[in-house]
Amino acid sequence: MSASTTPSVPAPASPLLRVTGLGRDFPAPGRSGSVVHAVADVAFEVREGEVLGVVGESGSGKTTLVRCLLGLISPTAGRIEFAGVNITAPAGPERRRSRRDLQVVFQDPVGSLDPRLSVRDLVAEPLQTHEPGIAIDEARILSLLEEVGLARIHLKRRAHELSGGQCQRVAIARALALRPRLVVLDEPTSSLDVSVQAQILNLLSDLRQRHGLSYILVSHDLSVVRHLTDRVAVMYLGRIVEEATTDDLFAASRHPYARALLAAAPSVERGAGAVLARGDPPREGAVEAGCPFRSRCWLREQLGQPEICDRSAPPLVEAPEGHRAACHFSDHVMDPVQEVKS
Amino acid sequence: MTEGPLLRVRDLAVEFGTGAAMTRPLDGISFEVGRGEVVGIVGETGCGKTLTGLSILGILPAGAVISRGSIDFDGVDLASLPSRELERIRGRRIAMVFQNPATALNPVFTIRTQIEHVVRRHLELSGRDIRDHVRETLVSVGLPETERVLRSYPHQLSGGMLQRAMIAMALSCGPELLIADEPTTALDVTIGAQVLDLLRRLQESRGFSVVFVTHDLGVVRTVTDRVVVLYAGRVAEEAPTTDLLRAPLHPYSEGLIGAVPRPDRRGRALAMIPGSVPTDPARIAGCVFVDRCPIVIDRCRVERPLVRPVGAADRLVACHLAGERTRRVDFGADPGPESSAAGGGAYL
Repeated sequence: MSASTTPSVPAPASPLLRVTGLGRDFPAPGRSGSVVHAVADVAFEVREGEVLGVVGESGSGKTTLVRCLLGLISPTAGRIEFAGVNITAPAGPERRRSRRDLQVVFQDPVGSLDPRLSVRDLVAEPLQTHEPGIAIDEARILSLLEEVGLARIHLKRRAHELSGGQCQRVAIARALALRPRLVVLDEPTSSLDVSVQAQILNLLSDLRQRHGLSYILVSHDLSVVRHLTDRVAVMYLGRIVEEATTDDLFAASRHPYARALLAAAPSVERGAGAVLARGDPPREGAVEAGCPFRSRCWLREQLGQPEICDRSAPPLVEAPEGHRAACHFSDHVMDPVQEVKS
Repeated sequence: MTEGPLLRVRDLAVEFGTGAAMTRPLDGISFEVGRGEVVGIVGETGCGKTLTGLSILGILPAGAVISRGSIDFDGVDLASLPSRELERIRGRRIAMVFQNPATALNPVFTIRTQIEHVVRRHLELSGRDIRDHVRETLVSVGLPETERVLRSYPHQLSGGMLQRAMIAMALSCGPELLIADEPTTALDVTIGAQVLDLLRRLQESRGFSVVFVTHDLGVVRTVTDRVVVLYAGRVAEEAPTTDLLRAPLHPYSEGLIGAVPRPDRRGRALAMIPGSVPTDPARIAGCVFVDRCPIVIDRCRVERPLVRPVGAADRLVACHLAGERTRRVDFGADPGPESSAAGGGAYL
C-alpha cells in the first residue's frame, strides 16, 4: 500500500503538538460567579511518530482537553501549537488549515457516523470537504477501506448494517482519508468487546507503523494505554499529576494517585491489587488550596498528614528521563507501597 | 438441605418468539454453584451471560420463555416454580446487583425507603427494628455518613456510593446466592476496585455464593473461583479460574484470553478471532464456533460437541479436539520478542 505521504522516520526535535498552560473554566452549577477549572495549567508535547496516552477517571478533564485540542471549544487560558503554528482559537484560519493534519476517532463508533450515509459516502466526505472541486477517486476510497480491513462489499452499507467494530474501522478510515499526522483517539475501544478491541488495537499499531502516525490515546483502560503508548500523562481533577514514559510509569510511579490507579485496575495476570485511593474524588470546585488529591491520598496518611499538602498545591516537577510528577513526596511513592502490601 | 451444590442449572434454554421468528439465545447450558463459591459467567456481547442471570432470578424480558431445562436452587426448581413462590425467594434467598445502580434504583424514593421496602417484604420485622436493620446493613457495607446516604435520592449520590447502597439492599435479607451482573463496569477504576474489594470481603465473611457475570477477565481473575465461558448461548468451557487463564482448552477461550492486552504483549499483535458471533446459532447443526475456528475438522460441522471432562474432572470443554491437540491455536498473535525483532522492533 502506498498511501503514505511521509516516510516513517522519527522526525526531529521540534514537537508536532505543543500544549502550554492550557485551561478551560466552566461556570459552576448553582453557584453564580464561581467557576470550575475543568482543565487547569495543562502542558505537554507530542513528537512526530509518538503515541501519548492520556489517562484519568470521570471528572479528570480528559474530555474537555480533547475538545480543546480539536477546536470544539475554546480554552480560557494557554496555547496549542501544531507543527509550530498557533491553533488555539477554534475558528481561526490556522485551525482550519490544521484540520487535515489533526483528526479524531471517537468512542461511540455507531453514533459518530451519519446513519443516512453509505460507507462510501462516509469515507468520501472528508475528501469532499477538504478538496472541493476535485473529483472523488473511487480507487482511493476502496484502498482506504482495505487499509482498515474492510472490503468492496461494505461500500454500500450504512452504519446500522455494520457491527460496532466495523463502524470503528469506518471511523478510522475517515480519519485517515486526509493523511493526517496526528490522530486523537478518544476511548476508541471502550464500547467494543475484547476480541474486537484486539482487532482495532492491532489495526492502530499497523497504521502507525505504516504511516509514521502520532496518536493521542485518551482512555480510562490502563491495559490498552500500556499496550499502545510510548508515554503517558495521568490527569486528576483537571491537572496532569504525572507524566512519564509508559515503562517508567508502570514500573516506578512518582505520584500517589497514579500509583493507586495502576494498583486498582484488575489484570488477568494478578487480579486486582491494593485499594489505595479511598472514597470518591471531591465534587467540582471543592479543591481550594493544597494538593487536589489530598482527600484520598494514602501516602499522606502514611507520612502522618504532612501540613504542606494542605497548604500548597505541588507543582509538576521534572525528575530525570523527563518523568514529571506533582507530589511533595514523589520519592516516597514506591517505597511505602511495599509495606502496605505485606 | 445442606448437601450438594446450592445451584444446579441443567440444560437451560431460553427462547424468544415462535416458528420461523424463533431465536434461542440460551441453548442448553449447564453449570453448578457450590455453597460459598464464586462462579464467573464470561463471554462477549450476545453470548447469553446476562440472560443466564435473569433466568435464575425469574425476571426474563418480555417475550422470553424458558423452553427447556431446570434451575435447581437448594432442591427447588426455579424454572417451574409459580411466580408467587418465586417472589418469596427472589430478594431474600437470591439477590441481585446490576451494572448500573443509577437506573436499577427508583429515582423518586430515598435509599431508606427502597431498602426498607425490601426488608419489610421479606423479614418479619416491624417499625424500629426495620430502621435499625437497614442502618446496620449500610454500616456493614462500609458506607460512611450512613444517615446522609439513607436520606438521599439516587441522583444525590456518586456511582460508587450508589453501587454500595445497592449491595446493601441486596444483602439486607441475608441471601444465600448473589447474582452480580457487571457490578463494576460502569464505575471508575479506583471506585470499581473499592467495590470489588468490598464484595470479596463480604463474600468471605458471610459465605454466600455468587454468580458473577462479566466480560472482564481481569475481574474474573480477581473475584471468581471457577469460570463458565459462554459462546453463542452455549457453554464453551468451564474450569477453575487460574487453570482457565493459564491453559484454556477451548479455541474460543484461547482467542479471548489472547486478545487481552498484557504487559508481556506490549506493542505486539494480539490474538484476533476472525468473523463475528453467529446471529442464529440455534440453526447451526454442529459446533457454534465453527465459522471462526482455525482448527475445524469435518466432524465440527455436523456434530455438536458436548461438554465433557478433559484431563481433569473439573475441566469441562465442548470441543471435539480438546485433549487431542498439543499446539496452541493460531489467532495471529505475535508470539514473542524473537519474531518481533525481525519486524523492526518499532514499538519497544
